[in-house]
Amino acid sequence: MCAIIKTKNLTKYFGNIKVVDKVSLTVKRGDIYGFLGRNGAGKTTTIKMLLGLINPTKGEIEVFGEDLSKSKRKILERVGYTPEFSGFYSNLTGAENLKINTRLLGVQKKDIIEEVLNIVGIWDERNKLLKKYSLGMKQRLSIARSILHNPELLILDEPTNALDPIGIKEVRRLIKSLAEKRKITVFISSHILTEVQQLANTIGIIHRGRLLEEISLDELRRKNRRYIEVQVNNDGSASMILEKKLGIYDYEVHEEGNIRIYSHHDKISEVNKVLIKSGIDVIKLGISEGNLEDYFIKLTGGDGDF
Amino acid sequence: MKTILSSLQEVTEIFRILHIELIKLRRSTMVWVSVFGVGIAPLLNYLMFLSLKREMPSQVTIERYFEQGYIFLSALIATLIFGLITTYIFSREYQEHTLENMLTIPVTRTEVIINKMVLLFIWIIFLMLFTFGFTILLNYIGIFIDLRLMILIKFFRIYLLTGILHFALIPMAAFIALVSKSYIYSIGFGIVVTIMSLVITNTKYGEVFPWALPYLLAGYEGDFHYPVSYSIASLILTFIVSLTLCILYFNREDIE
Ligand SMILES: Nc1ncnc2c1ncn2[C@@H]1O[C@H](COP(=O)(O)OP(=O)(O)O)[C@@H](O)[C@H]1O
Ligand SMILES: [Mg+2]
Repeated sequence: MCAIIKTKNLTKYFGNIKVVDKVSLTVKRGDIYGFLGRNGAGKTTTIKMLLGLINPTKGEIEVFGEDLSKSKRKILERVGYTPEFSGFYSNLTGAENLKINTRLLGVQKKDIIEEVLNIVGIWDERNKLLKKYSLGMKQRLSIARSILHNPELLILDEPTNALDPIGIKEVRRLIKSLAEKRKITVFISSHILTEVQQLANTIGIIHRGRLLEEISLDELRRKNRRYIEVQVNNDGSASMILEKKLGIYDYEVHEEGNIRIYSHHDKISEVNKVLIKSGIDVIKLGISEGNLEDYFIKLTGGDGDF
Repeated sequence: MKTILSSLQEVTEIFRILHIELIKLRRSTMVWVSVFGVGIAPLLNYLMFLSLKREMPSQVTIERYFEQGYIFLSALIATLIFGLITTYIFSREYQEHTLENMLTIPVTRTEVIINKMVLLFIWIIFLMLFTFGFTILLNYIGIFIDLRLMILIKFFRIYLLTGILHFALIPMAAFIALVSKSYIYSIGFGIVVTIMSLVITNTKYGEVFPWALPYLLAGYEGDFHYPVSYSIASLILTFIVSLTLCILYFNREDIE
């Protein structure tokens, strides 16, 4: 199978508060999986369960097709992790902090620290003590640390939090290029819709601990495209007329009698005329705006923003 | 052959993590704090003997000099300073949010505990040896009692033994640090058991009170009310129970 992460009914209680509720998610090989949810939705808790840092109350976790509770060590050797709050030893330099990882991971490659620090653009700061690092530098160092052992799966918990706009852009580009050049599967959490939109190809939406939807971005876009909505009495013959007489092929029959046309937005009156002329009853006609943001707000009960 | 090789590998693995624990102490102020902390004992002793030498020179012997310094250290300072470095070693990983990295590299949680314990053992022995050396050094700054080899050897052994015995008390401090994740509780605990030891050492109950035992077993020369095996058992039991608590607790804990 090509599932890199697979959870089944993953559940976590803190005391008697349910924080993660029967989450069953699937991350496929090569995905950039955007884990989207508001603050407090349960993203960090889920991620920490995927890494064995938090013990699930219930449910199963498979990573690389193996049971996490049984093969934790083997699995983690192939995973890179950038925590939400990246921790380093403040009395050590950036390079020394990374050396801890290369030693423990048994990374043999000679110039690996130079390589990863160059990738994230802080090689010049390698000899600075961590207590002198800015938040942005720490975030980069944390990403550098997570790719030291050339992982197949990279898990990033809100990596652009607390970065300035330029830093956000750079980190985004970095993640994208890592995924493309190194063929790493990426699992990235965020509370910002536009960020996930720009990065991910699959989105999982978590809200109050529950996974509301898991969908590829293409499908999502298709679902949310701007379209002409036509309600007719006979969708079969109406479709034929659209194709034959108007040359419209980019449409779908959404429900019985309800057709969505994704092109020809400026030809709305022509569509109407041709259909009526051909003896079709047009019951309703209009233009619908597809909007991801509206979609998410609707999905999560409409009482807040992402 | 294969099993020998793999167990050899395991041993080197353990030392690799230990090396990491040592790297983490680079430029750490706590190293200096601990050296300064234990240094207070010989320093107090030195000041005392400096004035004693002026006022009652007949009282000044090399045995008394070492003995008094040792009592300052073991009765007042050791539990506190060793508790402090233990708390530092464990709670810094929470305060600096470094466990998320350590435990996902992956190092197992039991390995973390064991390696930190070994590091603390080395650190404690180092501090004991430092204190011993510092005591000798201070003698040559204005006191100049003649050293006798026999006495030197005797106290060298006492200092070493005291360090080893104190190590048995470390897991309890570690457990408190793991659970509370702060200095306040473990320092509070250190103060309480230090005072309790001061009160209890001269009674027979001191012989089974673990925090009074490093002194009683290593430095005290009088008779015991109970068999010494009771004392040794009490100390070993404390070590095993609290170490087990540490490992169980840490393995079950959610790292947040
Ligand atoms: N130890 C805890 N005890 C009780 N509630 C907790 C604990 N840790 C986290 N929570 C709660 O769990 C919810 C999910 O937290 P988290 O997973 O950090 O969300 P996110 O990462 O999506 O912002 C939040 O409401 C948070 O307050
Ligand atoms: Mg979070």
